[in-house]
Amino acid sequence: MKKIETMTYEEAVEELESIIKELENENLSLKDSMEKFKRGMALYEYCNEILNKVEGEIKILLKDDEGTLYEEDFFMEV
Amino acid sequence: MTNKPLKVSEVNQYIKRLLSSDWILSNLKVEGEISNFKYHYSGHIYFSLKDEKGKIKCVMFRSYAENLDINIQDGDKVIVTGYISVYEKEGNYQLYATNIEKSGLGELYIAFEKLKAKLESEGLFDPINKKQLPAFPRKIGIVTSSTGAAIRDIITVIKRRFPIVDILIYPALVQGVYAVDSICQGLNYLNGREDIDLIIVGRGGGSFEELFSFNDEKIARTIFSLEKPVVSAVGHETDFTIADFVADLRAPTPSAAAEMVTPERSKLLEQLEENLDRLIMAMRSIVDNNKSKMDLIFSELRYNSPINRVRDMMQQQDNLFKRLVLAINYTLRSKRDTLDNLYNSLSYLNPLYCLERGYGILMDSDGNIITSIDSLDKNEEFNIMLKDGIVKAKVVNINKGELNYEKN
Repeated sequence: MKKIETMTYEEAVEELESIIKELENENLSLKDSMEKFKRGMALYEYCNEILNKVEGEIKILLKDDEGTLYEEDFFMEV
Repeated sequence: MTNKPLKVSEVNQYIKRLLSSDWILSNLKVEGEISNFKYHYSGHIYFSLKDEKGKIKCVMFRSYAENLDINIQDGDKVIVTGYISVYEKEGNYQLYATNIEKSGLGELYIAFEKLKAKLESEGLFDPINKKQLPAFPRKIGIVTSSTGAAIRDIITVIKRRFPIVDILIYPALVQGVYAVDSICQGLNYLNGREDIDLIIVGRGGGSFEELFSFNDEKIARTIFSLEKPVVSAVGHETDFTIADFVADLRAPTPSAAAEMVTPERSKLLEQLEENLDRLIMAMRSIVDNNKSKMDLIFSELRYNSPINRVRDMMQQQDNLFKRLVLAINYTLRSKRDTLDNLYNSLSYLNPLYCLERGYGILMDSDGNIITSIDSLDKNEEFNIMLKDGIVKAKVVNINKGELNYEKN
Protein backbone atom coordinates (compact mmCIF):
# COMPACT_ATOMS: atom_id res chain seq x y z
CA MET A 1 0.00 0.00 0.00
CA LYS A 2 1.40 3.52 -0.93
CA LYS A 3 2.22 6.00 1.80
CA ILE A 4 -0.47 8.62 1.78
CA GLU A 5 1.91 11.57 2.18
CA THR A 6 3.63 10.64 -1.07
CA MET A 7 0.42 10.45 -3.07
CA THR A 8 -0.87 12.99 -5.54
CA TYR A 9 -4.36 14.34 -5.00
CA GLU A 10 -5.70 12.29 -7.93
CA GLU A 11 -4.18 9.08 -6.57
CA ALA A 12 -5.66 9.73 -3.15
CA VAL A 13 -9.14 10.45 -4.53
CA GLU A 14 -8.95 7.41 -6.79
CA GLU A 15 -8.07 5.11 -3.90
CA LEU A 16 -10.71 6.67 -1.67
CA GLU A 17 -13.35 6.01 -4.32
CA SER A 18 -12.24 2.43 -4.84
CA ILE A 19 -12.37 1.83 -1.07
CA ILE A 20 -15.92 3.21 -0.97
CA LYS A 21 -16.93 0.88 -3.82
CA GLU A 22 -15.36 -2.09 -2.05
CA LEU A 23 -17.15 -1.27 1.19
CA GLU A 24 -20.41 -0.76 -0.67
CA ASN A 25 -20.33 -3.80 -2.87
CA GLU A 26 -18.09 -6.46 -1.44
CA ASN A 27 -18.56 -8.81 1.41
CA LEU A 28 -15.53 -8.01 3.46
CA SER A 29 -14.82 -9.26 6.93
CA LEU A 30 -15.46 -6.78 9.69
CA LYS A 31 -11.73 -6.54 10.34
CA ASP A 32 -10.91 -5.80 6.68
CA SER A 33 -13.76 -3.33 6.53
CA MET A 34 -12.47 -1.48 9.57
CA GLU A 35 -9.00 -1.30 8.11
CA LYS A 36 -10.30 -0.03 4.78
CA PHE A 37 -12.50 2.49 6.55
CA LYS A 38 -9.56 3.80 8.55
CA ARG A 39 -7.51 4.13 5.38
CA GLY A 40 -10.42 5.88 3.65
CA MET A 41 -10.68 8.39 6.49
CA ALA A 42 -6.96 9.08 6.30
CA LEU A 43 -7.22 9.63 2.53
CA TYR A 44 -10.13 12.00 3.06
CA GLU A 45 -8.17 13.99 5.64
CA TYR A 46 -5.23 14.17 3.26
CA CYS A 47 -7.32 15.43 0.31
CA ASN A 48 -9.13 17.89 2.51
CA GLU A 49 -5.83 19.25 3.73
CA ILE A 50 -4.59 19.71 0.17
CA LEU A 51 -7.74 21.53 -0.90
CA ASN A 52 -7.61 23.82 2.11
CA LYS A 53 -3.94 24.60 2.00
CA VAL A 54 -2.79 28.21 1.77
CA GLU A 55 -2.97 30.06 -1.53
CA GLY A 56 -0.43 29.09 -4.15
CA GLU A 57 2.41 31.44 -4.95
CA ILE A 58 2.78 33.45 -8.13
CA LYS A 59 6.35 33.96 -9.33
CA ILE A 60 7.86 35.60 -12.35
CA LEU A 61 11.17 34.64 -13.92
CA LEU A 62 13.72 37.42 -14.29
CA LYS A 63 17.26 37.53 -15.61
CA ASP A 64 20.17 38.80 -13.56
CA ASP A 65 23.17 40.63 -15.07
CA GLU A 66 24.75 37.38 -16.18
CA GLY A 67 21.56 36.25 -17.85
CA THR A 68 20.73 33.64 -15.21
CA LEU A 69 17.06 33.20 -14.45
CA TYR A 70 15.77 33.75 -10.93
CA GLU A 71 12.29 33.89 -9.50
CA GLU A 72 10.56 36.77 -7.84
CA ASP A 73 7.06 37.29 -6.46
CA PHE A 74 4.74 38.60 -9.12
CA PHE A 75 2.36 41.41 -8.25
CA MET A 76 -0.42 42.17 -10.62
CA GLU A 77 -0.96 45.81 -11.37
CA VAL A 78 -4.60 46.57 -10.61
CA MET B 1 16.77 85.60 -72.86
CA THR B 2 19.72 84.98 -70.68
CA ASN B 3 20.76 81.44 -70.12
CA LYS B 4 22.86 81.66 -67.05
CA PRO B 5 24.22 78.25 -66.14
CA LEU B 6 23.03 76.83 -62.80
CA LYS B 7 25.05 74.85 -60.35
CA VAL B 8 24.33 71.16 -59.98
CA SER B 9 23.29 71.61 -56.41
CA GLU B 10 21.00 74.46 -57.41
CA VAL B 11 19.22 72.22 -59.91
CA ASN B 12 18.81 69.49 -57.34
CA GLN B 13 17.54 71.96 -54.78
CA TYR B 14 15.08 73.32 -57.29
CA ILE B 15 13.75 69.90 -58.16
CA LYS B 16 13.53 69.07 -54.49
CA ARG B 17 11.43 72.18 -53.89
CA LEU B 18 9.20 71.30 -56.78
CA LEU B 19 8.63 67.80 -55.51
CA SER B 20 8.07 68.90 -51.95
CA SER B 21 5.41 71.31 -52.98
CA ASP B 22 3.47 68.62 -54.81
CA TRP B 23 0.64 67.54 -52.55
CA ILE B 24 0.51 64.02 -53.97
CA LEU B 25 4.24 63.33 -53.74
CA SER B 26 4.52 64.76 -50.26
CA ASN B 27 2.24 62.12 -48.78
CA LEU B 28 1.56 58.91 -50.69
CA LYS B 29 1.31 55.15 -50.50
CA VAL B 30 3.13 52.99 -53.01
CA GLU B 31 2.48 49.34 -53.58
CA GLY B 32 5.21 47.08 -54.89
CA GLU B 33 7.59 44.24 -54.28
CA ILE B 34 10.66 44.57 -52.12
CA SER B 35 14.08 44.07 -53.63
CA ASN B 36 17.68 44.78 -52.58
CA PHE B 37 16.53 44.93 -48.97
CA LYS B 38 19.32 46.02 -46.63
CA TYR B 39 19.56 46.69 -42.93
CA HIS B 40 22.30 49.25 -42.46
CA TYR B 41 24.32 49.18 -39.26
CA SER B 42 23.19 52.72 -38.64
CA GLY B 43 19.64 51.33 -38.23
CA HIS B 44 18.35 52.75 -41.49
CA ILE B 45 16.75 50.45 -44.03
CA TYR B 46 17.47 50.63 -47.73
CA PHE B 47 15.50 48.84 -50.41
CA SER B 48 13.81 49.19 -53.74
CA LEU B 49 10.18 48.84 -54.65
CA LYS B 50 9.42 47.42 -58.02
CA ASP B 51 6.66 46.23 -60.24
CA GLU B 52 6.71 44.70 -63.71
CA LYS B 53 7.63 47.95 -65.39
CA GLY B 54 9.66 49.97 -62.98
CA LYS B 55 11.59 50.51 -59.81
CA ILE B 56 11.92 53.16 -57.15
CA LYS B 57 14.60 53.57 -54.51
CA CYS B 58 13.44 53.69 -50.93
CA VAL B 59 14.91 54.52 -47.56
CA MET B 60 13.48 54.21 -44.08
CA PHE B 61 15.27 56.00 -41.29
CA ARG B 62 16.02 54.36 -38.00
CA SER B 63 13.39 56.25 -36.03
CA TYR B 64 10.72 54.64 -38.21
CA ALA B 65 12.49 51.33 -38.74
CA GLU B 66 12.57 50.69 -34.99
CA ASN B 67 8.80 50.67 -34.85
CA LEU B 68 8.35 48.11 -37.59
CA ASP B 69 6.76 44.97 -36.23
CA ILE B 70 6.91 42.85 -39.36
CA ASN B 71 9.69 40.91 -40.95
CA ILE B 72 10.59 42.12 -44.40
CA GLN B 73 12.52 40.32 -47.01
CA ASP B 74 13.04 40.49 -50.75
CA GLY B 75 10.00 39.45 -52.70
CA ASP B 76 7.51 40.66 -50.11
CA LYS B 77 4.62 42.58 -51.52
CA VAL B 78 4.19 45.69 -49.46
CA ILE B 79 2.54 49.06 -49.26
CA VAL B 80 4.95 51.80 -48.28
CA THR B 81 3.75 55.08 -46.85
CA GLY B 82 6.01 58.12 -47.17
CA TYR B 83 7.00 61.01 -49.41
CA ILE B 84 9.12 61.52 -52.50
CA SER B 85 12.17 63.69 -52.24
CA VAL B 86 15.56 64.14 -53.75
CA TYR B 87 18.82 62.84 -52.46
CA GLU B 88 20.85 65.80 -53.56
CA LYS B 89 24.23 64.13 -53.26
CA GLU B 90 23.36 61.60 -55.91
CA GLY B 91 20.69 63.52 -57.78
CA ASN B 92 18.26 60.70 -57.15
CA TYR B 93 14.73 61.00 -56.13
CA GLN B 94 13.62 58.37 -53.71
CA LEU B 95 10.76 57.32 -51.51
CA TYR B 96 11.31 58.22 -47.86
CA ALA B 97 9.28 55.57 -46.10
CA THR B 98 7.54 56.19 -42.78
CA ASN B 99 5.70 52.88 -42.62
CA ILE B 100 5.71 49.55 -44.38
CA GLU B 101 2.85 47.08 -44.26
CA LYS B 102 2.46 43.83 -46.07
CA SER B 103 0.09 44.33 -48.91
CA GLY B 104 -3.16 42.69 -48.02
CA LEU B 105 -3.66 39.71 -45.77
CA GLY B 106 -3.40 37.62 -48.87
CA GLU B 107 0.31 36.98 -48.62
CA LEU B 108 0.31 36.17 -44.92
CA TYR B 109 -2.79 34.12 -45.29
CA ILE B 110 -1.27 32.06 -48.08
CA ALA B 111 1.84 31.50 -45.97
CA PHE B 112 -0.35 30.54 -43.04
CA GLU B 113 -2.32 28.07 -45.12
CA LYS B 114 0.82 26.60 -46.64
CA LEU B 115 2.47 26.08 -43.27
CA LYS B 116 -0.73 24.70 -41.80
CA ALA B 117 -1.06 22.15 -44.61
CA LYS B 118 2.59 21.17 -44.27
CA LEU B 119 2.48 20.66 -40.51
CA GLU B 120 -0.83 18.89 -40.73
CA SER B 121 0.56 16.41 -43.26
CA GLU B 122 3.44 15.77 -40.88
CA GLY B 123 0.98 14.85 -38.15
CA LEU B 124 1.64 17.79 -35.84
CA PHE B 125 -2.07 18.38 -35.37
CA ASP B 126 -2.97 14.72 -34.97
CA PRO B 127 -5.30 14.11 -32.01
CA ILE B 128 -3.25 10.98 -31.20
CA ASN B 129 -0.35 13.25 -30.27
CA LYS B 130 -2.41 15.43 -27.95
CA LYS B 131 -1.39 15.07 -24.35
CA GLN B 132 -3.96 14.99 -21.62
CA LEU B 133 -4.10 17.82 -19.11
CA PRO B 134 -3.60 16.93 -15.45
CA ALA B 135 -6.90 17.03 -13.57
CA PHE B 136 -5.23 18.48 -10.52
CA PRO B 137 -2.30 20.73 -11.46
CA ARG B 138 0.09 21.82 -8.73
CA LYS B 139 2.09 24.37 -10.70
CA ILE B 140 1.17 26.06 -13.95
CA GLY B 141 3.75 27.66 -16.22
CA ILE B 142 2.72 30.62 -18.34
CA VAL B 143 4.58 32.02 -21.34
CA THR B 144 3.25 35.45 -22.18
CA SER B 145 3.87 39.13 -21.79
CA SER B 146 4.14 40.11 -18.12
CA THR B 147 2.35 43.37 -18.75
CA GLY B 148 -0.58 42.50 -21.00
CA ALA B 149 -4.21 41.85 -20.22
CA ALA B 150 -3.64 38.15 -20.88
CA ILE B 151 -1.61 37.46 -17.75
CA ARG B 152 -4.03 39.49 -15.64
CA ASP B 153 -7.01 37.58 -16.97
CA ILE B 154 -5.33 34.20 -16.45
CA ILE B 155 -4.28 34.92 -12.87
CA THR B 156 -7.66 36.39 -11.96
CA VAL B 157 -9.52 33.31 -13.17
CA ILE B 158 -7.09 30.85 -11.57
CA LYS B 159 -7.26 32.68 -8.23
CA ARG B 160 -11.03 32.50 -8.30
CA ARG B 161 -11.33 28.83 -9.26
CA PHE B 162 -8.27 27.15 -7.83
CA PRO B 163 -6.28 29.46 -5.56
CA ILE B 164 -4.07 26.70 -4.17
CA VAL B 165 -2.12 26.21 -7.41
CA ASP B 166 1.31 27.74 -7.92
CA ILE B 167 1.99 29.86 -10.98
CA LEU B 168 5.31 30.55 -12.68
CA ILE B 169 5.43 33.23 -15.36
CA TYR B 170 8.03 33.31 -18.09
CA PRO B 171 7.76 36.85 -19.45
CA ALA B 172 8.05 36.68 -23.23
CA LEU B 173 7.87 39.12 -26.08
CA VAL B 174 4.69 38.31 -27.91
CA GLN B 175 5.11 40.44 -31.02
CA GLY B 176 7.93 41.78 -33.12
CA VAL B 177 11.10 40.30 -34.49
CA TYR B 178 12.19 38.60 -31.28
CA ALA B 179 8.83 37.19 -30.26
CA VAL B 180 9.34 33.75 -31.80
CA ASP B 181 12.68 33.10 -30.11
CA SER B 182 11.47 34.53 -26.84
CA ILE B 183 8.36 32.35 -26.80
CA CYS B 184 10.33 29.23 -27.77
CA GLN B 185 12.86 29.87 -24.99
CA GLY B 186 10.05 30.20 -22.49
CA LEU B 187 8.39 27.01 -23.65
CA ASN B 188 11.62 25.04 -23.51
CA TYR B 189 12.59 26.45 -20.13
CA LEU B 190 9.26 25.63 -18.48
CA ASN B 191 9.20 22.21 -20.14
CA GLY B 192 12.54 21.47 -18.48
CA ARG B 193 11.26 22.33 -15.00
CA GLU B 194 10.29 19.29 -12.94
CA ASP B 195 7.70 21.18 -10.93
CA ILE B 196 5.61 22.46 -13.83
CA ASP B 197 2.55 20.36 -14.69
CA LEU B 198 1.37 22.21 -17.78
CA ILE B 199 2.11 25.30 -19.83
CA ILE B 200 -0.18 28.05 -21.07
CA VAL B 201 1.23 30.05 -24.00
CA GLY B 202 -0.53 33.01 -25.46
CA ARG B 203 -1.30 36.67 -25.59
CA GLY B 204 -4.23 39.03 -25.68
CA GLY B 205 -6.06 40.14 -28.78
CA GLY B 206 -4.40 42.04 -31.59
CA SER B 207 -4.27 42.48 -35.32
CA PHE B 208 -3.54 39.58 -37.60
CA GLU B 209 0.04 40.80 -37.89
CA GLU B 210 0.41 41.15 -34.13
CA LEU B 211 -0.69 37.58 -33.61
CA PHE B 212 1.46 36.36 -36.43
CA SER B 213 4.37 35.19 -34.29
CA PHE B 214 2.10 32.39 -33.15
CA ASN B 215 1.92 31.23 -36.75
CA ASP B 216 5.64 30.65 -36.86
CA GLU B 217 6.89 27.20 -37.77
CA LYS B 218 9.53 27.27 -35.03
CA ILE B 219 6.91 27.82 -32.34
CA ALA B 220 4.76 25.07 -33.81
CA ARG B 221 7.66 22.59 -33.76
CA THR B 222 8.72 23.64 -30.27
CA ILE B 223 5.20 23.12 -28.90
CA PHE B 224 5.06 19.74 -30.61
CA SER B 225 8.39 18.65 -29.13
CA LEU B 226 7.49 19.39 -25.50
CA GLU B 227 6.75 16.61 -23.03
CA LYS B 228 4.41 18.74 -20.98
CA PRO B 229 0.90 19.54 -22.12
CA VAL B 230 0.56 22.95 -23.73
CA VAL B 231 -2.57 25.06 -23.87
CA SER B 232 -2.62 27.86 -26.43
CA ALA B 233 -4.54 31.03 -25.73
CA VAL B 234 -3.98 33.50 -28.50
CA GLY B 235 -6.16 36.56 -29.02
CA HIS B 236 -9.90 36.28 -29.20
CA GLU B 237 -12.29 33.49 -29.88
CA THR B 238 -12.22 34.10 -33.64
CA ASP B 239 -8.44 34.08 -33.92
CA PHE B 240 -6.90 30.80 -34.99
CA THR B 241 -3.12 30.41 -35.17
CA ILE B 242 -0.82 27.54 -36.02
CA ALA B 243 0.07 27.34 -32.33
CA ASP B 244 -3.60 26.61 -31.61
CA PHE B 245 -3.56 23.63 -33.93
CA VAL B 246 -0.39 22.14 -32.49
CA ALA B 247 -1.20 22.77 -28.86
CA ASP B 248 -2.68 19.95 -26.83
CA LEU B 249 -5.66 22.16 -26.15
CA ARG B 250 -6.76 25.40 -27.80
CA ALA B 251 -8.40 27.94 -25.54
CA PRO B 252 -10.41 30.66 -27.24
CA THR B 253 -9.03 33.31 -24.87
CA PRO B 254 -6.49 33.54 -22.03
CA SER B 255 -9.32 33.59 -19.44
CA ALA B 256 -10.79 30.47 -21.02
CA ALA B 257 -7.37 28.80 -20.85
CA ALA B 258 -7.23 29.46 -17.12
CA GLU B 259 -10.65 27.94 -16.73
CA MET B 260 -9.81 24.88 -18.81
CA VAL B 261 -6.66 24.00 -16.88
CA THR B 262 -8.04 24.32 -13.36
CA PRO B 263 -10.68 22.38 -11.50
CA GLU B 264 -13.03 24.37 -9.30
CA ARG B 265 -11.92 23.99 -5.71
CA SER B 266 -15.46 24.38 -4.36
CA LYS B 267 -16.61 21.49 -6.58
CA LEU B 268 -13.72 19.31 -5.46
CA LEU B 269 -14.56 20.03 -1.84
CA GLU B 270 -18.18 19.15 -2.51
CA GLN B 271 -17.19 15.87 -4.14
CA LEU B 272 -14.84 15.10 -1.28
CA GLU B 273 -17.61 15.64 1.29
CA GLU B 274 -19.86 13.36 -0.76
CA ASN B 275 -17.17 10.72 -0.68
CA LEU B 276 -16.86 11.11 3.09
CA ASP B 277 -20.63 10.64 3.48
CA ARG B 278 -20.55 7.54 1.31
CA LEU B 279 -17.57 6.13 3.21
CA ILE B 280 -19.29 6.57 6.56
CA MET B 281 -22.62 5.24 5.27
CA ALA B 282 -20.93 2.16 3.84
CA MET B 283 -19.11 1.48 7.10
CA ARG B 284 -22.23 2.09 9.15
CA SER B 285 -24.23 -0.39 7.11
CA ILE B 286 -21.44 -2.94 7.42
CA VAL B 287 -21.45 -2.50 11.20
CA ASP B 288 -25.27 -2.69 11.27
CA ASN B 289 -25.23 -5.86 9.19
CA ASN B 290 -22.68 -7.44 11.43
CA LYS B 291 -24.61 -6.39 14.48
CA SER B 292 -27.86 -7.92 13.29
CA LYS B 293 -25.96 -11.04 12.27
CA MET B 294 -24.53 -11.14 15.78
CA ASP B 295 -27.98 -10.68 17.29
CA LEU B 296 -29.24 -13.57 15.23
CA ILE B 297 -26.33 -15.77 16.23
CA PHE B 298 -26.76 -14.79 19.85
CA SER B 299 -30.44 -15.61 19.87
CA GLU B 300 -29.67 -18.94 18.21
CA LEU B 301 -27.00 -19.53 20.77
CA ARG B 302 -29.38 -18.70 23.56
CA TYR B 303 -31.95 -21.00 22.04
CA ASN B 304 -29.46 -23.80 21.90
CA SER B 305 -27.91 -23.03 25.25
CA PRO B 306 -27.26 -25.99 27.66
CA ILE B 307 -29.03 -24.00 30.35
CA ASN B 308 -32.27 -24.88 28.63
CA ARG B 309 -31.47 -28.55 28.84
CA VAL B 310 -30.49 -28.13 32.44
CA ARG B 311 -33.82 -26.47 33.07
CA ASP B 312 -35.61 -29.27 31.25
CA MET B 313 -33.74 -31.81 33.27
CA MET B 314 -34.51 -29.97 36.47
CA GLN B 315 -38.14 -29.94 35.59
CA GLN B 316 -37.99 -33.59 34.75
CA GLN B 317 -36.32 -34.18 38.04
CA ASP B 318 -39.03 -32.24 39.82
CA ASN B 319 -41.63 -34.38 38.12
CA LEU B 320 -39.82 -37.52 39.03
CA PHE B 321 -39.50 -36.32 42.58
CA LYS B 322 -43.19 -35.55 42.74
CA ARG B 323 -43.99 -38.94 41.36
CA LEU B 324 -41.57 -40.46 43.80
CA VAL B 325 -43.26 -38.72 46.69
CA LEU B 326 -46.65 -39.80 45.47
CA ALA B 327 -45.47 -43.32 45.05
CA ILE B 328 -43.92 -43.40 48.49
CA ASN B 329 -47.02 -41.94 50.07
CA TYR B 330 -49.12 -44.49 48.33
CA THR B 331 -46.88 -47.30 49.42
CA LEU B 332 -46.80 -46.01 52.94
CA ARG B 333 -50.53 -45.73 53.07
CA SER B 334 -51.08 -49.18 51.77
CA LYS B 335 -48.51 -50.52 54.16
CA ARG B 336 -50.23 -48.71 56.99
CA ASP B 337 -53.58 -50.17 55.87
CA THR B 338 -52.05 -53.58 55.86
CA LEU B 339 -50.59 -52.88 59.22
CA ASP B 340 -53.96 -51.71 60.49
CA ASN B 341 -55.56 -54.82 59.16
CA LEU B 342 -52.90 -56.90 60.74
CA TYR B 343 -53.36 -55.05 63.93
CA ASN B 344 -57.04 -55.65 63.78
CA SER B 345 -56.49 -59.27 62.99
CA LEU B 346 -53.92 -59.41 65.70
CA SER B 347 -56.33 -57.83 68.11
CA TYR B 348 -58.64 -60.71 67.56
CA LEU B 349 -55.90 -63.06 68.38
CA ASN B 350 -54.95 -61.23 71.52
CA PRO B 351 -55.62 -63.56 74.39
CA LEU B 352 -56.77 -60.64 76.43
CA TYR B 353 -59.55 -60.22 73.86
CA CYS B 354 -60.70 -63.75 74.79
CA LEU B 355 -60.78 -62.70 78.44
CA GLU B 356 -63.26 -59.96 77.43
CA ARG B 357 -65.48 -62.58 76.05
CA GLY B 358 -65.36 -64.59 79.27
CA TYR B 359 -62.52 -66.91 78.67
CA GLY B 360 -59.81 -67.42 81.16
CA ILE B 361 -56.17 -68.36 80.72
CA LEU B 362 -54.63 -71.04 82.91
CA MET B 363 -51.05 -70.65 84.00
CA ASP B 364 -48.89 -72.74 86.31
CA SER B 365 -47.11 -71.27 89.24
CA ASP B 366 -44.23 -70.38 86.99
CA GLY B 367 -46.49 -68.40 84.68
CA ASN B 368 -46.48 -70.94 81.84
CA ILE B 369 -49.69 -71.18 79.95
CA ILE B 370 -51.51 -74.48 80.45
CA THR B 371 -53.22 -75.70 77.31
CA SER B 372 -53.65 -79.37 78.22
CA ILE B 373 -54.93 -81.20 81.23
CA ASP B 374 -51.86 -83.33 81.00
CA SER B 375 -49.91 -80.47 82.42
CA LEU B 376 -51.99 -80.50 85.62
CA ASP B 377 -52.08 -82.90 88.46
CA LYS B 378 -54.75 -83.40 91.09
CA ASN B 379 -54.52 -80.88 93.95
CA GLU B 380 -52.02 -78.87 92.02
CA GLU B 381 -52.41 -75.19 92.45
CA PHE B 382 -52.66 -73.00 89.43
CA ASN B 383 -53.71 -69.54 88.36
CA ILE B 384 -56.62 -68.51 86.21
CA MET B 385 -56.34 -65.17 84.47
CA LEU B 386 -59.71 -63.48 83.88
CA LYS B 387 -60.40 -60.11 82.35
CA ASP B 388 -60.25 -58.32 85.67
CA GLY B 389 -57.85 -60.32 87.74
CA ILE B 390 -56.23 -63.63 88.63
CA VAL B 391 -57.92 -66.42 90.55
CA LYS B 392 -55.81 -68.90 92.52
CA ALA B 393 -57.33 -72.39 92.10
CA LYS B 394 -56.69 -76.01 92.93
CA VAL B 395 -57.33 -79.02 90.72
CA VAL B 396 -60.17 -81.03 92.19
CA ASN B 397 -60.67 -83.56 89.50
CA ILE B 398 -59.32 -84.35 86.08
CA ASN B 399 -61.67 -85.77 83.42
CA LYS B 400 -59.62 -86.24 80.38
CA GLY B 401 -61.49 -86.02 77.06
CA GLU B 402 -64.69 -84.61 78.61
CA LEU B 403 -65.90 -81.36 77.02
CA ASN B 404 -69.20 -79.62 77.83
CA TYR B 405 -69.49 -76.54 75.60
CA GLU B 406 -73.26 -76.98 75.37
CA LYS B 407 -73.68 -76.00 78.99
CA ASN B 408 -72.61 -72.49 78.30
